[in-house]
Amino acid sequence: MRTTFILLFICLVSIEIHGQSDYFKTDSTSSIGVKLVDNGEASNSRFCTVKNGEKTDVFSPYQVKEYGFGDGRVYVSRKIQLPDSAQCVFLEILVKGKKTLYYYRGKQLKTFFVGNDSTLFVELPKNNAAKTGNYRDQLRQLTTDCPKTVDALKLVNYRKRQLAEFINRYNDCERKPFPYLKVGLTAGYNLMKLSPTNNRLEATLNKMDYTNSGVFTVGLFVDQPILLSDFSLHAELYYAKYGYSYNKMIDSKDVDFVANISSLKIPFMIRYSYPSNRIRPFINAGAIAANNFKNKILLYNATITGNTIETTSMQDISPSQKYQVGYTFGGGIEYNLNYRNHLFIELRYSKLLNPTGTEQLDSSEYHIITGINF
Amino acid sequence: MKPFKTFIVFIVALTGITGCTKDALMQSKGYPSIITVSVSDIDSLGATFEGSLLNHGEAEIIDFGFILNDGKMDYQFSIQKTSTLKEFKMRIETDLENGISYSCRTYAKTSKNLVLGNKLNFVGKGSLFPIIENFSPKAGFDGTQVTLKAKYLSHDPLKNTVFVNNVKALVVSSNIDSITFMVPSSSFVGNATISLNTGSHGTVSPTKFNIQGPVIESISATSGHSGDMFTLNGTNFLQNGNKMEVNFGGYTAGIVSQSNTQIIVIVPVLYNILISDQTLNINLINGSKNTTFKSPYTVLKSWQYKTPTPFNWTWKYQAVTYNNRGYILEMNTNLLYQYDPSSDQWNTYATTLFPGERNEGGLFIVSGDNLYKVGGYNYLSKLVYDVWVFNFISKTWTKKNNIPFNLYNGFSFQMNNQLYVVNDEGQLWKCNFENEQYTRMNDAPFNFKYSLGSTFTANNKTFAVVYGSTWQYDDLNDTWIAKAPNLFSKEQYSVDAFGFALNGTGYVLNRGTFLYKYDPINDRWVLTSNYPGLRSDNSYKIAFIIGSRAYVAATSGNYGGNSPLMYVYQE
Repeated sequence: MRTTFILLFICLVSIEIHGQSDYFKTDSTSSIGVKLVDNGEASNSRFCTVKNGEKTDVFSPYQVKEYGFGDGRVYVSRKIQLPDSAQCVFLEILVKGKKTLYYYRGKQLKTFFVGNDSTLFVELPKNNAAKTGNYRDQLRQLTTDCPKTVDALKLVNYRKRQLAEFINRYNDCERKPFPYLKVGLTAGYNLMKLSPTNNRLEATLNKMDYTNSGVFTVGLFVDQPILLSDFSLHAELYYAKYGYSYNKMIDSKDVDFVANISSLKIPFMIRYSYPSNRIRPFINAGAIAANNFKNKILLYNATITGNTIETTSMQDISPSQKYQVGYTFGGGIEYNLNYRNHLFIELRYSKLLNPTGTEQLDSSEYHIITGINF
Repeated sequence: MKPFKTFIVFIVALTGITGCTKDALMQSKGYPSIITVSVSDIDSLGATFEGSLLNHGEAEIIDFGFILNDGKMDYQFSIQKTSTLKEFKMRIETDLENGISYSCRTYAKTSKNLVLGNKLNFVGKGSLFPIIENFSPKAGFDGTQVTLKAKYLSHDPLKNTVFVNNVKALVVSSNIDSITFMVPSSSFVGNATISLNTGSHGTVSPTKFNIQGPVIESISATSGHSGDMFTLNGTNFLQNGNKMEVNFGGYTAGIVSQSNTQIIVIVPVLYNILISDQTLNINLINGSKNTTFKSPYTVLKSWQYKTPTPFNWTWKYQAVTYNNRGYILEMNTNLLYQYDPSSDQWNTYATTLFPGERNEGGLFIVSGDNLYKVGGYNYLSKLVYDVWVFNFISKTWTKKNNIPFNLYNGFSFQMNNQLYVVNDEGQLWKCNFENEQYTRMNDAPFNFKYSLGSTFTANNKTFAVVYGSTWQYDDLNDTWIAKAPNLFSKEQYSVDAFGFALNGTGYVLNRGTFLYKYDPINDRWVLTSNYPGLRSDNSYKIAFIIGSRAYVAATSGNYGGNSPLMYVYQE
């Protein structure tokens, strides 16, 4: 929930910042309300460009100590060691707190720096010069005073947003699930029931007694966090094979309904996971599409006259059932096996409709799904 | 990692389960469920039908296949013996016509139900022409059943037709690969063309069918008389049908016996040609076939014209033979007339008139040199019992005592030197007219008043013939044994039949025209000739025998020209 609020806050702050003015500071002066030119990360690391009427003034890190855009980005002048020499550059402040995270983007270099108010300013390269360690090892040393971030450290990527999130959690020293991309396998059991699409169906099809068919399913899933929040885009691809066989006497006719459907189904949902650590409840909802790549749905009508049974018609409904779309929603819990692997189980309901409106059978499904990510 | 691996194993297992899930099937019922899947590969050679069994059901399937319908009838194609039941198909190569609309459906039969699949409609583009592969036998007769092996026959038996020399044959049975037909009746003999039609398609067999007819190889004689037994030997006399006829120049011969190689007939009476020889072809007709023997047959004449009686009064005369001459007591003049065959002349034998009454009926019996006139009836039809005797030497008439029995009509015969008389009432009397001794024997089982009563001797046995029956007398037991029945009868406006003995057997001239001869060996009466005189049915006749000849005289009649006449009959 906290993440949710943070997200909302960020949006509000962003709106507020856009309302603020650009500024820059020198050792002696501060100019607020100027018009700064954003030349991109690489140029911003080297220059501070000020629009002065028709004229443009360019300042080096030696001239300007700090500048900031109205959107909240702040650059400070620092002397760092580049591969060829020690130079004064502008560093973008990503997080400011107990530990401050800086970001530098040179022509051919992208790196981070961690510092505090006075005693620490170290570079955080992706890999050290000896190739014996990486940024995580260095972060581990820098954050040993907060063990709650250990699991997050294993998942953080060498990216601005991820490292910023990690330093923020360290600064707050809080333990909660760190968002990351999950890919895994699913297995489940579906109860699917067919139902006539609408009253345009022929009478015989409407009069059949439809029941649930239970089948096992297998599939894949991908869960992509949205802006490192507790929301994620959750998509699946699973396979299921259904079979139905009904017989009924309708209007003095012996009617058989036989359907065999093999489907690939793709639910595409937005999932909210409660940010608890060991067990995370979640809910999700979204759309579902089905490709019944192999389906045979036949309706047989037979008349019985004395000892003669005659199949008077055989209606093939299969072509109209090739593709279906619908909606799906459900909820479940996710259990952390370790910092990376999670097992989830979910109860879900789906309703699949025929997109063209001329099709003849809808379907509704109850799923119980379990899955694990790699 | 243990939970992770466990889950992977679980997923893999589930994938297997999911992938191997069987399709849902139609629910089982008391009968099988079948569908017609497709009609494909439709071309000028046929079409391919495909069906499927959705559910076997609980009953045993005893037959299955396809039913083709052309809008008029169903053609059933069973593949029960050639296909598995689950998915079945067959190539239809018959019964399809170009441009005709058809429907096809599967079928399955159980002991209780006929199950029909859905109909699929299509337009035919044709099918294969029939091919005659073989037939057997290769030779035969009209009516012979020939089995023809063929391919691409119609499944409609009515469409499979066979022609022999363009004559339609009766198809006895027909199935998908053979037809059994009957060679049609025709006059043709030789190698015939077999053709086969299946609807609009047809073919001709390259092999001919040899139709055989009757062949007369030999005959028993080249000439003879009407009534003679005549034998034809040969082959195939009976093979071409039930109809059997042998004729001599168109005159049909009576068949005594017949077999496939021999026929015995009686030389027919040439009704219009009785007093001259005729050379005629011998024809044999069996069914529609006929054949003529290579040599003709001469029918010798049996009758000769002789001088008629010099009188033609309407008295019912009787004739006797004495000393190779014939005698008739002419009742109008009471004179005894004699016929001399050497001169073919009639003369009065004596000037002495018969002194008695002019009675008719009774009997004239020659015994030794005497002629006995016994019994009869007078002009009032009243019985008389007189016995008169005429001595041929002295030519005198003498009256004897009356007989003790009625004798309106009768006949006499001799056995073991005893004279027997049978009267019209069936009484049998052993008579000795000279000594006037009469002994009544057992009555005969017949009577013949006003009708036929005649006797003859054959094979040393004495026979009597009356209308409808023939009898043999057993003198040891004094009984009569029934012999062959006959068709002799009195017809209105025809004279009564009368009989005489000749050449060791009996003859009867029925209705004045038809001369029958008794065949003692086969105990039957055989038509042997016709009386050649004009309107012989109406002329009253008598006969006397001289040697092997019978002189039959027509003494009176109601039509001009039919009396007096006399013909002599000789075989």
